[in-house]
Amino acid sequence: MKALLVDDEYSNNENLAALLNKYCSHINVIASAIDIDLAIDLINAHQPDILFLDIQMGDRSGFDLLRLIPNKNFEVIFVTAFDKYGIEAIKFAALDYLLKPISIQELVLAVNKAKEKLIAKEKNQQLNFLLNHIQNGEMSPTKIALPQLHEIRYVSVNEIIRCEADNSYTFFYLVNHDRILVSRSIKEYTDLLKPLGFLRTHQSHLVNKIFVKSWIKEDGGILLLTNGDKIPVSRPNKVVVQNTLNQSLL
Amino acid sequence: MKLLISLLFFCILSTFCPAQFKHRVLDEYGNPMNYRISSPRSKIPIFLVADKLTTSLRPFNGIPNDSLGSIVFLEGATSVSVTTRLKKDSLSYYRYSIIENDTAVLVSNALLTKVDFVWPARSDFPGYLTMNVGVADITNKKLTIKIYKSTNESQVTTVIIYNKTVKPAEILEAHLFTESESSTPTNYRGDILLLKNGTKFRINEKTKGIFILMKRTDLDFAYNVSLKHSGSEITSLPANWRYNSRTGDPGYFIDVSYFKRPGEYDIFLSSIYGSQFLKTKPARVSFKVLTSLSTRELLLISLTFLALITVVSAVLINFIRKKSTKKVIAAKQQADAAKSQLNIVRSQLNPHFVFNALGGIQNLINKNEVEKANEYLDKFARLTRNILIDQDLISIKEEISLLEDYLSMEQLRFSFNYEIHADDSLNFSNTEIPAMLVQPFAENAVKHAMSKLKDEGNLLIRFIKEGDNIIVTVADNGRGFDVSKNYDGLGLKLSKKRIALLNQVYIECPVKLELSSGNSNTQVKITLTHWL
Repeated sequence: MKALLVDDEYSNNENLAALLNKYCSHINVIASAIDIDLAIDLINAHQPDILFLDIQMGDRSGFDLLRLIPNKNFEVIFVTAFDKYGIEAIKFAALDYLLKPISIQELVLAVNKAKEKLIAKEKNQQLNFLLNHIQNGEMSPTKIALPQLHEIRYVSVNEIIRCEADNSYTFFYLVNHDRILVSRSIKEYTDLLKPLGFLRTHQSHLVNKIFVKSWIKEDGGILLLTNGDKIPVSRPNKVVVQNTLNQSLL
Repeated sequence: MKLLISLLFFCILSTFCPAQFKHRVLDEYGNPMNYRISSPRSKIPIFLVADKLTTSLRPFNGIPNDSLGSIVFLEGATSVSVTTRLKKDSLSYYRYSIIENDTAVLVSNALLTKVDFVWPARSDFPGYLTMNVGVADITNKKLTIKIYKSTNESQVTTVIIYNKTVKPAEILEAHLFTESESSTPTNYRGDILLLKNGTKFRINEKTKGIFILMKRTDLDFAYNVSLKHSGSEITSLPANWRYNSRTGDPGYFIDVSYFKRPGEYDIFLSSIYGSQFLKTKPARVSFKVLTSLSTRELLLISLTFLALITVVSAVLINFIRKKSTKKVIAAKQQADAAKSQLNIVRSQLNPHFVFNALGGIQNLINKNEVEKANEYLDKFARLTRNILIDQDLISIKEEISLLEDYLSMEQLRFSFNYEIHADDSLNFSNTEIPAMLVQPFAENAVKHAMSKLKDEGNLLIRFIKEGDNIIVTVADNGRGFDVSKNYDGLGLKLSKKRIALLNQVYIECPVKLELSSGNSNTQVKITLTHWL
C-alpha cells in the first residue's frame, strides 16, 4: 500500500516514515511533502492509498488540502500535536487520528483500520462530512457521524434525545424511536456534545437539553423528557444540570 | 285692499324666500290653488283648496311615528274643500273619517260618494274619479281626515288641517331621577329632584335621567326636546312622548347619557316644524351638572391605576427575577471561579517530575532501548496532554491508566512495586471523578516512601464502592509522616486546596480527605461522598 506523508516539519515525516518501515511493513512510503502544493502534485502523480496528514501546517491546514482534491480515493489518517477544534471535528466525523508523539500501538491500529476500509472499498463519505463541518466554521455542527459495524450513520444532533452508556458502548435514542449502539464510550460523546447543549446527568446518561420537559425533585432529581423518559440526575451533576437548565429558562 | 297687499306681499316674498312662502292660496289668475296635502308616501292623494281669506298655508310631510301622515298649517282660513282621487273600480273599498279638534267625529268610516270629476279616457288619470271628501268650516279648528282602504286598515293616510294659533309649549315640571341604593330590579326605588332654573347637581352611576312634563297641547307631536350644553351645541332628542295616564300630559325622559359632561345645560321645547313656527320663545329649563367622576372616568382612572400597578409589579417582578438571575449568575460565577482555580491548581505540573521523566527517556535512548523510549515517551505525552487539556472530570478507567502511566514512568528512576485495584461493582469506564485527584498522593508516596524503600516499596491504590460513596485509598509501607504535625508538603497543600475548591462546586457531594500514618504504613483515604 502506498502512503504519502504530509507534515510541514521534515523531522516529523522522517520519524513517521521510520516507524512505518519498522512496524507496518506492508506500507510503502512513496513520498513525503512539507507543503500543501507539493502534496497535491504528489497525490496526483502517485495516487496513494493512505495519506498521513498533519492538521496544522503554518497558516493552512490539512483540511484545506483535502478541499483541493475532488476525488479522494485514499484513506486519511490525521496527525496532530495539539488541536482541540481539529480533533473535535475529526471525532464528529468518526475518523481516525494520531497524536504526536506517535504511539506505535495506535499507529498500527490506525493503519490496520485504514487497510480494512480500503479492502472494503468504502466510499469515503466521512471526509466530505468532515469538510462540510469545518467549512461551516464557527457554526455548531448539525450532524454527527455514528460508526456502525458496516456503515456510518449521520444523525442530526437535534434528533438525538439522549445517550445511555452500556459499559464502553453508547446507545443513542433518536426522535424517530431509533436506538443506535455505538462502540465508543459515553465520555467521548459527552466531550463532543456538551458544547451543543447536552447534559451529563449521570454516569450513564447524556441528555439533549432541548428535550427536557421538567425536573422532578425526587431523590436527588429526575429529568422528565418530552418522550416520557425519566433520566436520573446524580448528585455530582446536579448543580451543573440545575444551573444549565435555570440559565436556559431565564 | 288688504287681500291685495297680502297677495303682493306673498308674491314679493315668494321670490326671495321660496321655501317659506311657496304655498300660495290663489294662483296667478286669482283662482284658489289646489294643493296635494297628503304625504308623498301615501298612495291616496288628498287635495286641499283653502278659501280666499287664508293668509298662510304651510303643508308639512310627516308626523312623528306616522309615515303616511301630514299636516298643513293654515292662518285666517274659514272654509276648506278637500278632495281625493281614486280609481273608479276600487272606490267601494275606501272609507274615510273626519275628526274635529281631536274630539268631535264628524264623519266615521264612511264611503266616498260625492263625485267631483270624472277623469276621461284621454286624460292624465283615465279611470279615476276625483271624490269630494267635504267642504268644512275650519275657523279656529283642527280637522283630522283619515282615508284608508277597508281591506288594509293599517295603511291609513292621515292629514291634519290646523287652522289655529299655535300656543307656545309649556314645561310643567322637570325632575332629576336617581336610583336609590336600596333599589333592586324587582323593587325600583328612586329619588326625585325637582329641577328649577339653575339647579346644580352631580351625576353618579345611579343617575338615570331627567323627566320633563309638558303641558298638553293638540300638537304634542310637533314639539321635541333639545338639549344645549354650555352655550355650544344643541342636541335634538328623538320625539317620543309618554302620556300621563291621568292628566294626559305628555312627558319625556332624557337619558343621563345626554348630559354627562359637566357644565350648564338648557332643556328646550322646540318645534320640529322650524323655529318660525313658534311665535314665542321656546320653553326652557336650565340646570348645571357639576364636575364629578363619571363611571367612564372612574373606569378610566381605575384602568390607569391598574396599568400602573401592572407596570410597577412587572418592574418589581423583573427586578426580583433579575436579582435571582444575578443570584444564579453569581452562583455560576462562583462555581466558575472555583473551576478556574481548580484548573490552575491541577495544571501545576511538578517540574521535578517533568524533567526527571525526560531524563529517564534520554537514558533509554542512549542505551539504544528505542522501543522502550517510545513507550515512555507515549506515557509522558499522555500525562502531559491530560494536564494541558481543560478537563475537570475523567472516568475511573482513565484515571487508572494515567496513574499507571505515571507510576511506570517513575519506575524508570527506581524500581518499586505498585498495584492499582478497582472494585468490579464500580462502572469504571463511565463513572467520572475529578481528574488528577489521586495522582498527587501517588506522587507523594513515590517521593517519600518508594524512593527510600526501592524494591521493598509497595504501593497499593484502591478504588472502592461503599454505598453511594467512592473511596480511593493510596497506601504504602513507608514511614509516612506525622499527621498531628500538620505536615504540608507542596503536593499535599495543593491537594487540600483543590479539594476545598471542589467542595465549592460539588456542594452536595463533598470530597473528604483522611490521612493516617504509622511506622510502616501510610494511608491516604479520599472519600467522594454520594458520588454514585
